[in-house]
Amino acid sequence: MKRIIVAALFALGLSSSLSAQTLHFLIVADTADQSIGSSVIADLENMQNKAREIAQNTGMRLNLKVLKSPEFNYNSTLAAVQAVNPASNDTVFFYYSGHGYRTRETKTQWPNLYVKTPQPGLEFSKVMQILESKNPRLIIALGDLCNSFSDQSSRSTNSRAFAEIQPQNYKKLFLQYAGRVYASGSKPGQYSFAMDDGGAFTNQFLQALANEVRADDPSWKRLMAVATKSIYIGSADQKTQDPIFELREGATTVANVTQNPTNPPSVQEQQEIQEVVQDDTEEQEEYQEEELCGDLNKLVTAMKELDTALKPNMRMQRGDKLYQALENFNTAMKGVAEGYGDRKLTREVRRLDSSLMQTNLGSYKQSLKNLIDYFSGVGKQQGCRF
Amino acid sequence: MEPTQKVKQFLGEKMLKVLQAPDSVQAIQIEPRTGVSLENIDGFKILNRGPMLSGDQILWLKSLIMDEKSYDFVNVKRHPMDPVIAYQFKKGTDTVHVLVSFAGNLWQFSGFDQKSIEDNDPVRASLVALAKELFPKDKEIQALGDKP
Repeated sequence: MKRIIVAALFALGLSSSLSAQTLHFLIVADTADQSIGSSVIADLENMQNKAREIAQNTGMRLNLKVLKSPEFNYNSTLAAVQAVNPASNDTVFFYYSGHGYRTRETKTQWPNLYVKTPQPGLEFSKVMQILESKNPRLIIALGDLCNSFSDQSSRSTNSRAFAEIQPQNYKKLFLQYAGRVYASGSKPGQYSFAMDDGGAFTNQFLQALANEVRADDPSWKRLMAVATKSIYIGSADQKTQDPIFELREGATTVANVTQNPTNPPSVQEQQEIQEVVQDDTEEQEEYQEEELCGDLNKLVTAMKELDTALKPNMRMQRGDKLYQALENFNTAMKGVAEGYGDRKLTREVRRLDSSLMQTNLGSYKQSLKNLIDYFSGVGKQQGCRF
Repeated sequence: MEPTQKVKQFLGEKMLKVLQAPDSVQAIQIEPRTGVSLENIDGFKILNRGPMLSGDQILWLKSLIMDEKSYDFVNVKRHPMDPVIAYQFKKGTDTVHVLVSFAGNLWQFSGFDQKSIEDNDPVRASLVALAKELFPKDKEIQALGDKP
């Protein structure tokens, strides 16, 4: 009995402590830039959605702040970072999407956030220092920006997309983990690239996170190892984009890919990263062989049934039962698209969503058919028989 | 050289007209990040009005601008535009500026209230060579290499 009471008290205490935690999510986005603005806007939208998803799945209160153009500048960015006021058990997530660079004088491996004045912009390491001084339980600071001197992504499809999100995985990563997760889109001397649907690094990070929240045993180490895998670009001057990261628990660096010319990763570190990436690939291959065809078959069959059930003469209004049912279906499809990470699929799911918003059943059915064709094609490519 | 449809689309008809047959082209040194100044080109402070380009130099620069292979229309870098040279193309009363950022290998075309930025990695060497020819006494320009 005593044990039960202790356990109950512990659970009560834990749950009240958990519910009191806050996710401070600060997004800084250079949305008005001439050349990369549209890509940054896509990042902004993706990260806002991710912030809500993390809060929803962890039960943390969300304190979301967005700083974008035209308010975005050196002073406003610094002020926003300084204004973050976490309790000791809170999570702070800082995310920057925009231009970046480094100079020959830059001492750290981290780039500078580009602001026109004053030179040399705002150092990413300074943002980290300010957040460190507040000492929350967990800090995640990501920057999708160039690390090049200023003086299409080939995205692998993700088989785990069909597995379900595990809310406890979100809790393990964002609520129960204490440490520092720092990353930027490219190693010193390199460019980061903007894609139509967001930054190459941001997309890879989001895909890695989508994987991890569906995994059996989620870990930041594996997540960041996958998120910072070399990204094939194929530009004449830069074949790949190589993100960097550092993962710390207390004073100990538990994993990193620093790529710093003055402090190259040890052979052991390289092996560790290689191992976790290898593990991830093996798990995906295993899943692919054993379950992918079955899941695809179920998905295509369910979509065909839905298509048959939707009659062109049906009436639908916002909020009615049919609308809600299709809304739920769309939410599920968004999750699949996010995890699968293919632009064509994302586009089709957006069309599906847009048709629903317009309560246009004819257009909805057409988008649904396109999706059926899409997944049937994926099945054929994978050699599935259905 | 007749530009491809892609280049025409990128530069637009009006800018293209000036760039294809300018009356004159002047090279102007600008400050990458000093912000607003009275004498500026697209917000970049003018440091030094350099030489007028010779006929051969104009042809050289034009051939780079008109060639689709000079651009990287596929990849978009997250590097800021830090131009140090502006080429001022004039035709009658019309003006088009071509700003060259050796950091990040970018160039910006502006005129007629339009502004377009693209990557120019394939022709960095040619643009560096032209800049060195135009500013033989400028140490920073003379120090430019094959890579940013």
